[in-house]
Amino acid sequence: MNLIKKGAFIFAFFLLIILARADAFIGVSPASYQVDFQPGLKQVFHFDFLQDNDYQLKISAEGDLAKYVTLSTTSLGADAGGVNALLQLPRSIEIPGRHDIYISASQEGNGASGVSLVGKIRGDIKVDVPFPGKYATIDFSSTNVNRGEPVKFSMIIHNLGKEIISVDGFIYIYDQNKASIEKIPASFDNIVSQDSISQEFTLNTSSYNPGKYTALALLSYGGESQLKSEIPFRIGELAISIVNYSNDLTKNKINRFDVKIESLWNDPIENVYATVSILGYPITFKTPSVDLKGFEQSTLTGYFDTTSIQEDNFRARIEIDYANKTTEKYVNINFKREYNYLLIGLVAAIAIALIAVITLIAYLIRVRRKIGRKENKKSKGK
Amino acid sequence: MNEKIVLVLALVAFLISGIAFSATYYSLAHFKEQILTGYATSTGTVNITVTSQVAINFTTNNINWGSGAVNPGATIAVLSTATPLATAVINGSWNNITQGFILQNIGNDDVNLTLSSGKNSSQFIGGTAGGGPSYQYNVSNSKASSCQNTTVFNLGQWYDLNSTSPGTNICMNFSFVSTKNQIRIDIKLGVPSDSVTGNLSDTITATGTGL
Repeated sequence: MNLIKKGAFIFAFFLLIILARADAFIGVSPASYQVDFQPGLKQVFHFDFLQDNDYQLKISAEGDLAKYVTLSTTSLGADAGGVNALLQLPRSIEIPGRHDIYISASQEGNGASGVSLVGKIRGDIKVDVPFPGKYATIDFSSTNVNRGEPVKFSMIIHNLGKEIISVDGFIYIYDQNKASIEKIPASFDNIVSQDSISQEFTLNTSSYNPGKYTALALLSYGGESQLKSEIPFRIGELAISIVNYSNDLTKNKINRFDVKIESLWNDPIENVYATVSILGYPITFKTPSVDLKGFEQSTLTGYFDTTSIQEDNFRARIEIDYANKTTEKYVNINFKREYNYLLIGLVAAIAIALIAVITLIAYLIRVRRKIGRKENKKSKGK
Repeated sequence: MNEKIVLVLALVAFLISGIAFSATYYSLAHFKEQILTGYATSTGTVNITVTSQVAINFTTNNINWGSGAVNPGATIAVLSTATPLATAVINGSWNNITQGFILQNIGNDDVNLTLSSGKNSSQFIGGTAGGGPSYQYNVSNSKASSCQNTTVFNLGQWYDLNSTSPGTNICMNFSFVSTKNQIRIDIKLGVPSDSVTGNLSDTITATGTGL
């Protein structure tokens, strides 16, 4: 019986916890549509609105092109549901570029006391209106590679203007000293209005050293109009560099010692760890290992006792082990300069006390002399 | 005559069986080339389309301090859901509430978040004593880095509620990644001793738009 009571109590407790939470959500799917402007375009866009509580939803269209939208309904019940937005565009729209038409569902407040929070969610119909004449944009991306592998550049040209365009130019490759070392021709012919064309370009890096590079896409269309996009890329070598290390330790205690490392390789490197040896002392410790992703930085951490080290600065050897290779570095490490504040305070207090005593003695001597002079005068008068 | 017919039929049967044998042998020998069999070597493709969804969840959607009044002798009381204050209610007899609004991005798309109120401080609380009423909010990350690209709006700072449409853009990029998809909105009220009396209420609207 007790067991049943206990069970009922636990059930009621958890039920109360669940009921006390006022979880409620509101959502829309899909989040957005994209459509290119066409004179007189007539198209239906469907949005499914979702919610899990008892609010009424008010449906409306917002944005400068909202007047061209007819909604299948302006309200939804507690179960929410689908809404069709019929878009009927005019023959022309003056302002070029992107126009957002928001189809929104707002929860209507229930007038509860205090401050209430309600949700409003908006689906988006993005209408792209072409620019007059020639107008284009560029998306440019590249990949990181390992030594000897080709670098692939991906370029997409979007013709957002009303005229057909052809795009020509080069991808310029710069090394980390900003020196131009190679250029790759790039051209796109006859891209019609509102169209996008993508192309891939390959850079042979067999003669390139590992390191950091930059690719600059510089293309022109319609005379002086230019497209420009710059992107960095790296060529990797199977190596790990030591970026930084702890260099401000404390004497006579166990210290944390960090070694910040960076992978110079595009692929993952597993089981990377450091072995640190304090030169001149029988102190050697290893850090736990980490796995590095391509070109990732990480910190290896170990601990050691500095009690036996007498000097204020000493040397250490840091060795990083990975993939049957090692990177080593000899480094100088310093101890923090420590002050004995108790001793400083004591000396200062003694000095102040001495000054006070000297001043007091000087004062007493002066007073005594004064009294002596007065007594002498009195005795002479008598 | 009958014997000749039987012989011809036997020869025909022999020829047919020979052809059949050859065909079977060829078929077995070239099984993978699927000329005479149903062996399939083409790679199957599975297509799936995942629709984008914008959805926000409210763990708490009402803050109610209950009934109360400004303490006798005090000109203004402060009610706050934020923890930095020593007590949630100063100079007042309302209930202590320390739970702000919790919003979570539970969709599969980053969200632009705007906040607007139905009333400003004068319309909601009224009064002039103690410097007049205040009605403020403070947005913070419940999970680190949930709200990104806040170039104009500062997290952790008190702002007056904005009752002018479309409100204030509090989070330009509210992440949907489960480790960084939750923010908290705290509310602070300054209630003067000569405020409006009765049941005071206001509704704040959080508007989410997919990016």
